Amino acid sequence: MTTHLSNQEFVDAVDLVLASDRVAHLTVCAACRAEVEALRAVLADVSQGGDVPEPSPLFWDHFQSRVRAEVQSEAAVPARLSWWATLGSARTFLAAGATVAAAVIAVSLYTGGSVEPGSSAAVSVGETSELLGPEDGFAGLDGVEWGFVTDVMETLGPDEARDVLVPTRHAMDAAFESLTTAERDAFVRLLTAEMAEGLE
Amino acid sequence: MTAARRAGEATPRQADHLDLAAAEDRVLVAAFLAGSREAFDVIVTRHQRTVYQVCFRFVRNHEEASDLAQDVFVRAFKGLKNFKGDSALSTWLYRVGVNCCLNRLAVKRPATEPIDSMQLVDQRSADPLRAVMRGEKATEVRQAIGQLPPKQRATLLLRVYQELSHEEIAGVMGCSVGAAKANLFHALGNLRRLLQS
Repeated sequence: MTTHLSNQEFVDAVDLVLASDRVAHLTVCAACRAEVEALRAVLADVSQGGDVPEPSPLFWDHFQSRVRAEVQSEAAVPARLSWWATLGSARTFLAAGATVAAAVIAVSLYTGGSVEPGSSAAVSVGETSELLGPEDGFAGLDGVEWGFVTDVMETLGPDEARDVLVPTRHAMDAAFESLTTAERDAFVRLLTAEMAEGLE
Repeated sequence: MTAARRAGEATPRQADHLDLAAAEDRVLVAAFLAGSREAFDVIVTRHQRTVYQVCFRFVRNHEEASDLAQDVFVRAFKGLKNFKGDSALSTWLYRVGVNCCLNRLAVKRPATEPIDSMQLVDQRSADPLRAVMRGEKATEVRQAIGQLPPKQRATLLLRVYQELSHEEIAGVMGCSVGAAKANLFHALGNLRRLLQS
């Protein structure tokens, strides 16, 4: 007696494309025939469960628009663009990055590194600037810069914020790419503005 | 040689003159890679229902299916430059869609059967009792499908509802034809046990 059908051959049998020599086995093997019939019965049941309610025509109009808007916003910041390139020269970026990195470290030390995104422990700009002054080595960070740093930390958390802001190319690129499109835009605008203002 | 020339010889100027709505998928892809955003719009229009249906069958929820379908086309927009043309565009979109759905299932439990699905029963049927029983059976089947392991669910949905060949399913799932058939076999076996219990 030939061997029973394999899993793949059972599927072929259901599809009526089983090889002829294996069809011969089915004619003499009640167990395999029963299995094939059971599979066909399940398939018949499954075919009843596939209805997909058709959305309204308005849905499709809006769907096109949403896709278009989303790809346009994605196209504004190419996926593989390094934010180093966005900000111009590496020297300029490093200078800005070092300033902001120092601020990040100061803020995380103040908070004990326990700021979670959206948590009430997030540092306010006012609190940070009152506690840290020139004697702490963070001269020159104004309200906008602190606001930017705290916004980033509130969004990403201290560890992720360090990855974004500390000038390590790979880590920053990875963190930058994890930002949403809107966050990237805001981040680039703020950092560009601050570098133009503070590094002339 | 640019990707556009490799894919189908369409240049931006040529793309402007193509009847995009009637163009084959490979021409649309070439036109898109050559810079035609309208070509991508046509791709979306042409395949949006199919993509949505695949997503809906995975999550059984209109809002999630809508989000997933949108995600599929955004990924397609970014990834079409990597489409080699060795399979149909629809198969490639299925792959993107299935991966999106599998990723979504990996991070959350599937939605429960929405009550509105019962409205699929045709109240005007000459035999309303039979129609109700069919509706209940369909709900039972959908719930059982929802309990399948994700890859078995994907294989079953693609075979039964999207009517893809085993070869196409293998291409979508990134496995051999034999593995796709085995996946289907196990999916049907598990469904049988779930429906009998």
